[in-house]
Amino acid sequence: MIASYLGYLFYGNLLILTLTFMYLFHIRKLIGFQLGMNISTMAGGFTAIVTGVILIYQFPLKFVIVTIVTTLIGMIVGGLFGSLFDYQTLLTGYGNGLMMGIMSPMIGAAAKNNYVFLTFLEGIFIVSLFLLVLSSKRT
Amino acid sequence: MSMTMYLLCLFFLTSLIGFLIYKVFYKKRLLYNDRFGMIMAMSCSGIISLNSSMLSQFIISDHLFFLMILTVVLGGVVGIVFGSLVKYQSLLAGFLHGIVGSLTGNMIGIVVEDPSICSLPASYFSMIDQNILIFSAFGTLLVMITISIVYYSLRV
Repeated sequence: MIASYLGYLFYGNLLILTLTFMYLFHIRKLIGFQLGMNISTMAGGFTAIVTGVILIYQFPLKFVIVTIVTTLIGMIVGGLFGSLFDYQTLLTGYGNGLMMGIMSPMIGAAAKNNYVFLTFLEGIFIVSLFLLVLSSKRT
Repeated sequence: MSMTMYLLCLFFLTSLIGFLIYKVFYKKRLLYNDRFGMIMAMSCSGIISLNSSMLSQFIISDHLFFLMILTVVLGGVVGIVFGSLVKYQSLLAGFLHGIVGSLTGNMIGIVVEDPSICSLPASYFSMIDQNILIFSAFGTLLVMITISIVYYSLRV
């Protein structure tokens, strides 16, 4: 019943992420590389974790493909957020998204379709994006 | 038997790639600043220790915890070796990411070999060999992509 809404959750996460990316794209000249490194690490890592857990809840029979897709998504998101600033922030976001994306389907499979856990992860994701926008506004 | 040969070949390929990139960085260690050195140590030691510990879990499937201790120490040593090219802060970053990478690699190796740990469905017990093939190829591909990106970033 709840499982049919997981796709919308994934789509909503992608939408929030795109809005944050567009906001950061406008003010990317104001952000130094130190904050840029932390931004790319946080965005890539948390996106990979939430995406991996959602995908393994939705497709519990396809562990291998879900792991590969999640790793690619984490790499791409970390690389995109890092490429706003510098080549070295791109490398940081890429590496962190890769590591988190490999780990996250195992966490989701061990959680056994627990929706409290998914709500907690979603809360962490939204709070981290909020903190990210706040910290980029304050500099 | 051919499975073990394949995994051993991938392990030696990973070690060879790590050794070659270390030689390249050792030759150019005076050219780059400490920030680039830190990021280089993070990415290289993380991905190399991840793939090598995953492959060694696949190769030797007994002695689980002994192998885990050995690969975590190996990942820390790889991180220290890559980080000691530049400065102490890059040594710390390389050490941390080497240990995190080898712990992740151990975790994924153990889960693929014994799917009941993560309560994966029973159909995985008939696909363990295929999963090992896919995961080892994917890990080695990730090593190649990461090392080539790091190598390309020397010129940017």
